[in-house]
Amino acid sequence: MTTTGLRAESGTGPVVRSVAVAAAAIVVIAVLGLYSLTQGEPDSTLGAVLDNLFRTGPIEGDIDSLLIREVRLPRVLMALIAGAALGIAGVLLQDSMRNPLADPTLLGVAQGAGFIIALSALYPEVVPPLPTTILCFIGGTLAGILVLGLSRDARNPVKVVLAGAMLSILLGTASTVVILIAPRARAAGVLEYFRFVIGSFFDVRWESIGLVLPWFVIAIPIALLSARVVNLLQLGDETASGLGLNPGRARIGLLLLAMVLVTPYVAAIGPIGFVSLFAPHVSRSLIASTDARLVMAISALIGAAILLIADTAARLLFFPFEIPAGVFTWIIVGPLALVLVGRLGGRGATA
Amino acid sequence: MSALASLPPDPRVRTSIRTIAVVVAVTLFMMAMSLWWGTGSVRLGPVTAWNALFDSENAERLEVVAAEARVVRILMSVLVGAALASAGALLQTLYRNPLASPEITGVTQGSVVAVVVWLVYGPRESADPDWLFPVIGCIGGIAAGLLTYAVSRLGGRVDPLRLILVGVLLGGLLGSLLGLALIASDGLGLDLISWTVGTVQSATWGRVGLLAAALAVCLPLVVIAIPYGNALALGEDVAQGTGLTVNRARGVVLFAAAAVTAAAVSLVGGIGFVGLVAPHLVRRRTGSDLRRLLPTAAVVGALLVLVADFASRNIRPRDLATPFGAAEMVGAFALPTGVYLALIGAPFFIHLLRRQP
Repeated sequence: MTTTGLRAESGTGPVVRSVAVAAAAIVVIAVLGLYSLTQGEPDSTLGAVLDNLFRTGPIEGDIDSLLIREVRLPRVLMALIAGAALGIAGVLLQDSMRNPLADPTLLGVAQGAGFIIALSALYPEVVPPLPTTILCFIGGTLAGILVLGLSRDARNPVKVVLAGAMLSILLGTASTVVILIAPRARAAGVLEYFRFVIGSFFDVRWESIGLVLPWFVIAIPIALLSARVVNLLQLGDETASGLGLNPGRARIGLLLLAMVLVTPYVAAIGPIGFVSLFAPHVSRSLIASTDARLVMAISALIGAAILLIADTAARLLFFPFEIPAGVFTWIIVGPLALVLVGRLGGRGATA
Repeated sequence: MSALASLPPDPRVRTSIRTIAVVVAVTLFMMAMSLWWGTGSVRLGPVTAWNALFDSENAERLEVVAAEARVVRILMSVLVGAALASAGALLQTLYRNPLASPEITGVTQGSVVAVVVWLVYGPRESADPDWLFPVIGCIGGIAAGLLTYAVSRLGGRVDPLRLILVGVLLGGLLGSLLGLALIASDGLGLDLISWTVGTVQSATWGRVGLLAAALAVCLPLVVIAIPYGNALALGEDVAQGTGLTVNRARGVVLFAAAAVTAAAVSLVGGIGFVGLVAPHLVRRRTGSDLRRLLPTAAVVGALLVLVADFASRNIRPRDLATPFGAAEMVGAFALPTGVYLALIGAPFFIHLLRRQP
């Protein structure tokens, strides 16, 4: 992300590059998605997968149909939807705050959502009876606003990251308190909380897809339409307001939009680290442009591909043992994100 | 001391000495009160407590046992608080940011995860010796600290932003692993969970001795780190101008802080916020020179943990919930020390966040 909105282009234009990158990402997603659908216990043939994908109607008795359509397909879909949402949310946050490290993982969003989960699992009577996705939206958004709003200078990476880290620890302790003061009879909720904390696709079924899909359908078009606003904000507050935009209001709107994109998936699969930090940066360097319209589209595809890889690897690497996708992304995506941040180091370290 | 003597006379030296004297006095009073004041099943007055302490003949008397248990907790609190506050002072100087604290280096989490993983997955045929899990925790904590430093160094320069990011990254990963281990730990349950926020409850004479020995070993390291920290506080360019290798200086300060933190958290679990709060409480009086800031902060840290443990021993959540008619919603579990430190830390955190320069 350069501070000037556009870079000098040489040779191929960003649109051509974007199409090429998008095509490559779609191929990866298609191949890996089909592969993931065939793998399991027992493995299915590619023919069976294709057959089940394109046939509607009731599930027949065979194990293949059941596994593919009821177990593996929802997981693959969830990985794709969540990855796309995370990729777009990353672009929204980074560009609107003009902070290369604005990322839900670093803003304490996951811990904010986690606290609400702990509360609703152990003390359902004090939490309004709303769906988990809405509760996570409230908790996560409050945490994000607290960090960005109170740290005064949302553009300073060091301040925001430190504030986010400390708030995460605080909220983690608060969740622990909820667990510790709850009577033993409610211990089942504790397990629910820890299953959330690790971040995994273990429990993803069609119901979880149904839970997040409405948010996705509403938020993605709005995000893509707001790309123009994001581009204006990249030019700096003065230029943006000169062009008729209220930067403060736009920023709050985009922050809320990013939360709408991220928190439902946090509710469904738990905290998945660093995808939304990594995907936008990779997209920008691949297409050599900071035009939010292109970056958002590419970042969505790359985010989807990353989560699909994470889920497939987490499921198959140590088969039959499954490691949580959360652990996997922390180990693989985290360091990659750091390498990217290292490149930005010069700017970030001036804080 | 010779270094102090060669300084130009600074009014803050005197203020610092006065501050230390006051805080030490308050801490000693708090230690005494913590010994004789308690709402537990055994009530000790000052006189009974004093006599019980030196009553070696009736080792089985309830008062003697209680007094001894309290002394152990008090000593542990003091050592842990001093250690974590020193680490916090070093780290805030290193990161040049008032929000820095030992928790963000990955050390605390590393130590906690090592202990929890050992207790959940480790062999459990024979009774482990008392020193085993602190050693494991210490190794885990220092390993995490070294990993943070090594990964930050990959890009060549160890700048604060990278250190923080790697610390956060490692913390997230370790948190994930911790969740896995806790899910697998049916039966160990709440004790392990209180370990993750830190509790002085498990203190024994052996462990107090262990921590004292570990801190004695770390002390020279901290003394060495102080001038490095002071040089880094001048900013990277000035520090470099004085002929300092910035990367090495950062490594020394980080390692000293990590070693002290690992020693403390391996004995009591993931206690936090002492390192964040203690240096702030004294900085205005002592200035930012680590030679004055660190010892003063250490005493304040000891006091903070002492107060938190006192609260943890004497406050029962169920009693608090009863007037609101919510007694049946609250279990009988006493909250661990770390919770009360977080309670002290939370408003501080918000205050610091708002006041950031």
